[in-house]
Amino acid sequence: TNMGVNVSDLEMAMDKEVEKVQNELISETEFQKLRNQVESDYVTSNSRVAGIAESLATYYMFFGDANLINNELDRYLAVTREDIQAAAKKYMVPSNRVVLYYLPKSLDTKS
Amino acid sequence: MRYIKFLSFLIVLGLASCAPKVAKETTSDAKSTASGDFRSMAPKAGPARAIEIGKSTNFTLANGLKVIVVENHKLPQISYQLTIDRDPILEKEKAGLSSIAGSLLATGTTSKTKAEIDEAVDYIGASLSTNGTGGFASSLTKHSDKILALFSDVILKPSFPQNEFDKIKTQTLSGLQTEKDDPNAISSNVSSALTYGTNHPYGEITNEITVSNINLKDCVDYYHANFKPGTAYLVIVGDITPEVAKSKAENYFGGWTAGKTTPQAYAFPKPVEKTEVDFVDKAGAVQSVINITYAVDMKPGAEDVIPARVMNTILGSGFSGRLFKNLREDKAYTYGAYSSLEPNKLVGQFSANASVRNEVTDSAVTQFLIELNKMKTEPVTAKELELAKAFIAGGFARGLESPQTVANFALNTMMYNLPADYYETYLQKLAAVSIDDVSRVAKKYITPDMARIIVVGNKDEVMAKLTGFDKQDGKIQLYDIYANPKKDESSTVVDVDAKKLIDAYLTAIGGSKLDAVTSLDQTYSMEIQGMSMTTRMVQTAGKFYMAMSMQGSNVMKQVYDGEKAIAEQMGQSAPLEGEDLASMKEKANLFPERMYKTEGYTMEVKGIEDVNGKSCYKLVVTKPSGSKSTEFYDKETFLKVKEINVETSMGETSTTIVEYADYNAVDGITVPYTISISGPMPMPLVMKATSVKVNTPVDPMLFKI
Repeated sequence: TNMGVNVSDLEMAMDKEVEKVQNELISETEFQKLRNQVESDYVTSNSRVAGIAESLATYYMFFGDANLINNELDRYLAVTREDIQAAAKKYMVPSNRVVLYYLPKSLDTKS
Repeated sequence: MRYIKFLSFLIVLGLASCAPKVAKETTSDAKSTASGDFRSMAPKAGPARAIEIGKSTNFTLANGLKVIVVENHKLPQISYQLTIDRDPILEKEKAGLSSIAGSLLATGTTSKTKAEIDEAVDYIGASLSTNGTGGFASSLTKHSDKILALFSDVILKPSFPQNEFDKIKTQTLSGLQTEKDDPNAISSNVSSALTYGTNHPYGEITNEITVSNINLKDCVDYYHANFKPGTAYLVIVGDITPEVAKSKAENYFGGWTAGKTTPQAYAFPKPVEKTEVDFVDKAGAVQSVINITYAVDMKPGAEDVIPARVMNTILGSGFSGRLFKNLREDKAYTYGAYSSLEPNKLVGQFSANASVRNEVTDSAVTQFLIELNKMKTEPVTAKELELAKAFIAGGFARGLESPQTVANFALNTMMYNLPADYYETYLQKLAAVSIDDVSRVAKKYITPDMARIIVVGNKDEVMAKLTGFDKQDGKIQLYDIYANPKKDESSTVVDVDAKKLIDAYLTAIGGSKLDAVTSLDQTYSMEIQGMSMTTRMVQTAGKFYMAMSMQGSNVMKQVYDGEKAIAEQMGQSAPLEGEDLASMKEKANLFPERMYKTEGYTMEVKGIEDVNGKSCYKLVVTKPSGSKSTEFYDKETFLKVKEINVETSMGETSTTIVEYADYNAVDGITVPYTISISGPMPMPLVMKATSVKVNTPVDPMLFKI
C-alpha cells in the first residue's frame, strides 16, 4: 500500500475484483484483448532458439507432451468467457489461500 | 549409445503451417551406456556453419527520411524503429530535457489521450515507446496497421498535455532524489563531468535543479528542433516485403515535413597530464565505487576497433577477464571487476571499475593498475587471444538469429559511413587479429599514467590511503555529487575542545533557558509519495510519544512511558525491547546533547568539514548504547546542521543522515523548523514544523501503553 492506506482496505478492494470475475462475464473487449496478448506472448517467447528450447523442455517435463508447442495456443484460444468465470469460481476460493502482510519496520525518525 | 536428436522447425501462425516436427528422444537403458551418465558429457560440437548475413533494402522518402527494410518471415511480427541521428546537444541548465520531451510524445496526440493510446496498444498486445531521439513499435503482423497508425501519430502529432508533463517531471524529480544517495549513480555522474568537462554534452549531469528548470514549452521547442526526417532513419524488420514497407512508410511518415537537425561541434576533451585521484564522500559508506577512466579517440568502424575489442575482452570482459580473475577470484575484493573500451562518433571512453569494501580500496586500485600496466607492456598469450576471439565470434554468430541484428548492421553502416561489407567481413577481420595487434592497441588505448581514479566512498576511512596514486601533486581532489570541487579542511588543526563545542551549541539553542523546559510538543508536516502527512513528537518527564498520521488517522505510533515502549503500525502493536528500547529512552531526553558531557558518552572533534557550503566542526559521539553519531556544528553559529547515525542491528548496518535547518526562536529556545532525513527510505523525508509548543500541558493519556 502507499503510505496512509490500510492494508485491509487494499485486501478488500482486491477481493471485490475477484468476486466480479466470479459473478460476471468479462466484457467482449477485455476478452479479445486477452486473446491478442496471449497470441503475442506466444510468438515472442518462441522467437529465439533458446526460447523454443525452453518451451519444448517445459512442455515435455511438466505436461509430458512436447507437441504442445504446436497446439497450446489453440487451447488458450478455445477458452470462452464462461470458462474464465467457471475457473475463477472453482479455484479462487478464499479458504484456499494464504494472505501475507509484509509490513515495514517502524519508521525511525530519530529526531 | 544414447543420443537425442533435435529437429529444427518453423512456427507459422494463422496461415498454412510448415510441417512441425517434434523433438524425438530415443531412450535406452542408462545402465547399458558404457561411458556413464550422459549429463556429465557435453555433446560434441557440430561443424561450424558458414555465416550468412541477411540483406536489407534501403530507400529514402521525399522528405529525407531514410528507410531500411529487413524482410524476415520467420515470425509473424513486424517492428519499427525510428532513430534520429542528430549530433549530441548541450542542455546546460535544463539537463534532462531531451529525455523528458521524448517520454512526453507517447502521452498524447491530437486525437488521443494517454489512456486511449495505452488501451489501444494493450488491446492488440503490441508495444510502443518514445524517447528523446526516436521511438519503437512492434506488433503481430495482423495488427501492424493499427500500431503503425499509433506510432506515426505519437511521432508526428504529439499534443504535449500539461498534466502529463507535470507527472513526468514529478516522477523524474523523485527518481533523481533516489539517485542522490546511490554511489553508482554518483560515480557515473561525476566520472562523466570530470572526463568530458561540463561544457561537453557527455559531461552534463541531470539533477533536480536542472529538471526543475524545464517547462512544457521547452519540450515543444525541443521536439520541433530535433524531430526532423532528414536526420532520421526508420528501420522496419520482419514479416513484410520491401514493396509493402515502402508504401506503409510513405503512407504513415510521408507527411512529415522535410528538414534536418542543426549540426553541432565540440572540442575533444583535454586529458589529465598525470593520473589524479578524485574523491566523492559518501558518509557512512561501507564500500567504495572505483572507476578508472578517461576519454579515447576511437570512432565506430575504425581499424583499431576490432583488435581493441579483443584486447578489452581479455582485460575485463565478464568472468574470464583478467580483472575479474584477479580482483574477485584471486583476491576476493569484489563481486565483479570489469573494463569497457567503447568507440563513439564524438568521443569514446575507457573505464575499469568495481565496488569494493572500504578496507581493500587501496589494494584494489593497486591491482587495477597492475593489470592495466601488464596489458600495456606484456603481450597476451596465444590461448587468451584464441579464447577472446572465439567468444566474440560466437556472440556475433548467435546475434544473427535475430533479424534486429541485421537491421542494426544496416543502420550502423549508414550512420557511420562504414564500408558496405563491414559486417560481412567482420569475422575475417576478427580472425586476423594477432598478438602484436593486441599489443599495439593496448599501448595506444590503455593509459593508466594519464587517467582519473574516481572513488565514491567513505572519506574518513578510505581517502587518506589513496594519496599515493595521485601523480599530479599527491593531493586528492574532493568533489560533491554534482562534481563541484569541495574544500577539504579535515586536516585543519582545530582549536575547539569537544566539551566547549557542546557548551557553545547549548548556549546557541537556549543556554540556561533549556533547564526550564519541561515539555516540548512539536508537529511537522511532510509529503511522502505525493501525500501529505503529519508527525507529532512530544517529550516530557522522561516520556516520549511520536505519531505519524494522514488525514487525521494514525499510520504509525511510538510510545515510551518511562519504563516500557511500544511501536504501533497499521493497527498492529508490538513491544520494543533491548536496543530498540534503549534507543527510545534516549529519544525521550529533551536536548540530548546535554548528556554528552556525562559518564558513558565519549566525544572527539575531528576537524572541519564543509556541509552545504558552510564550514562545520565535526564531532564524533559514542553513546552508552554503543551507537555512534557524527555531528556537524556550524563554525559560526554553533548550531547543529547535520548528524549521521550508524546503527548495527542483527548484523546489518544502516546509516541515517539527518539535516537541521531554519532554526527559529520559540519561547526562549531555538529549534530547527526543517528536518531532512535520508537513509531509511529510498528518498529523503523533509519535515517542516507547523507548531512548536514549549511547556504547554500535555495529555498524560498520550503515554499510556
